[in-house]
Amino acid sequence: MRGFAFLAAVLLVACNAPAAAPSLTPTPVPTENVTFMAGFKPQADLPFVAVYVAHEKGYFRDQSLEVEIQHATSGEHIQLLATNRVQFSTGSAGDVMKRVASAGVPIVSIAQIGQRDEQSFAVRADSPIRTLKDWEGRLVGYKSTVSADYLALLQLGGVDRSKVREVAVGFDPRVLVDGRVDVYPVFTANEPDTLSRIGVPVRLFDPTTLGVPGLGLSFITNKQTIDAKPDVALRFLRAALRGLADAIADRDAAIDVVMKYATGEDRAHQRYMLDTEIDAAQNDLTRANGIGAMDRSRYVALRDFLLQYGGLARTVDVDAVFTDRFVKELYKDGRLVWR
Amino acid sequence: MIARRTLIDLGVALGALAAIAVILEAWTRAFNVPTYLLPAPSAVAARMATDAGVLAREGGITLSEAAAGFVLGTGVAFALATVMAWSRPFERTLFPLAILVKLTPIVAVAPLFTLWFGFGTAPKVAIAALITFFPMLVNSFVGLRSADLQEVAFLETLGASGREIFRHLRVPSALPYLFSGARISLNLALIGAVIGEWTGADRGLGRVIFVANANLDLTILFGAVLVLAAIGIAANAFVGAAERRLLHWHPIAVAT
Repeated sequence: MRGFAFLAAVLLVACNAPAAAPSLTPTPVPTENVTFMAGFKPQADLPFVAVYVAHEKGYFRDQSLEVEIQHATSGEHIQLLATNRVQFSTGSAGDVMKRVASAGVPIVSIAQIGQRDEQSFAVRADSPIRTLKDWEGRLVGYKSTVSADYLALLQLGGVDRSKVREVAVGFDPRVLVDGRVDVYPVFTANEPDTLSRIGVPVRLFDPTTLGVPGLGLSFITNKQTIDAKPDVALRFLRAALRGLADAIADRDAAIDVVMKYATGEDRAHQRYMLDTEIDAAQNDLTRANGIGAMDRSRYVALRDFLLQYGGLARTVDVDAVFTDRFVKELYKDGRLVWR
Repeated sequence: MIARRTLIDLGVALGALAAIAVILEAWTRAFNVPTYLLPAPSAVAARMATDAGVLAREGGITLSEAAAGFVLGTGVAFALATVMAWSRPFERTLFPLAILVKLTPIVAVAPLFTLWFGFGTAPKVAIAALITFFPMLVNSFVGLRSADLQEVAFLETLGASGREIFRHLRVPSALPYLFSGARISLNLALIGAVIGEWTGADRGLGRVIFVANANLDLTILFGAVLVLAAIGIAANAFVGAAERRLLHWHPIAVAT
């Protein structure tokens, strides 16, 4: 009786086989048009490179995505992302938190590329400033506002803030060259190389090394995409992370691609930027879980740190500003699964 | 008569502004527009009331930088225009240089001003001066050259010196042009001061706007822009009043 039942089941399956056949040939996914707007001008920021390479190698097309690449000039990418005119962009984890906390902008980090703070404080290599305490009595610059990083470093170094002269220095590092300022805030992957190339090597006070819980650039999207088209977010990220893996594997080829976008930029400087950001994208977490991996505890630490030092106007639910569901789905044993 | 007309003009302008504000208020409420995209005028007004002290203080700083730049830029422009009006070789030499100054993108050179003049007020004043220079130069030059040649000849036959002709004929003839240049330059001076504050400052309306933009805090951003506009309108009204007083004999004073 049991044998008859088994035979009947086999026959049933066999009879149904033609009907089931379409499931073996996946239904073509309709091509989706999306826009990626890099958060700054064309350059070798690692998330930008990931998208450039993925676009160049046709990974987005393989994922049935037609991706238009744009670049922001003055922070407009956040508003464009919030209104879904742009579906994907880049932003530091701290900036995403600030925008969500202060204005309720519906944006979410979906892959954490930079695993450390992207900014440092530079002094000339020949400067007598050796420790944070040496900042007392010196002219210390800030780019636009006094940052939480800076205030944390003062506390870590036991620096009396009233003895530090603070000045808004803008975005031109040459003020460090001619001694108009003693300590200059830099993007670690950028200005140190620029300064070195004009003959002024620098030493860095790196907040991450000194224990400040910073995070760098992440891929970001809007809540509308996550809620209505999570498959698009998944496919975008799969292609971009494959492009990123290729860039790490062949950095010269990646820079070739970057230079197609960053026309007029210095190739060697772009390479410095790429190398620095690749280093900053890897740690124990990413070695175990893949580049872009996210750790909730680090977002909580970052939020608490920003709150403590006035970097956030009000608290924010970290689960509303990042999601690791996509990177978790894309990696298996730390390796990107391509399909 | 003039005071009545001014009041009517002011009423019309305020009415137009109020109408725009009502439309924007209705729009933002009807479509529930988020504040980080377009704040309702009522939200901007509330923020301006809350931060009135800050806006007044920062506005005062920007105004002082713009005023200093205006005086410096227009003063140098008038002096050079005088030389150019006096001498063709100087005109041919200086005018191309003036055009070079005019065509230089201020945003591109503004960071250099910090390198040259340091932090603080000096680079902002220098940028405001640079941006006001060309309109005043052209207006002064054309104005000084606009004196009636027959009147010049008449004064020469009376034995008037070049300096006397300049003082009693050329400058009065140039006044309408000078006021026209001043109107343009005043507003440009404010823009120059703001650009200077964007490239590295810890005070001023430009910095308020820069930081607000970075933080998507559009209520204070629009508040600062409105204060800037109010300063510009007040400055124009001041020049208009001076123009009517000094040029009461000229048809332009009736027209403005």
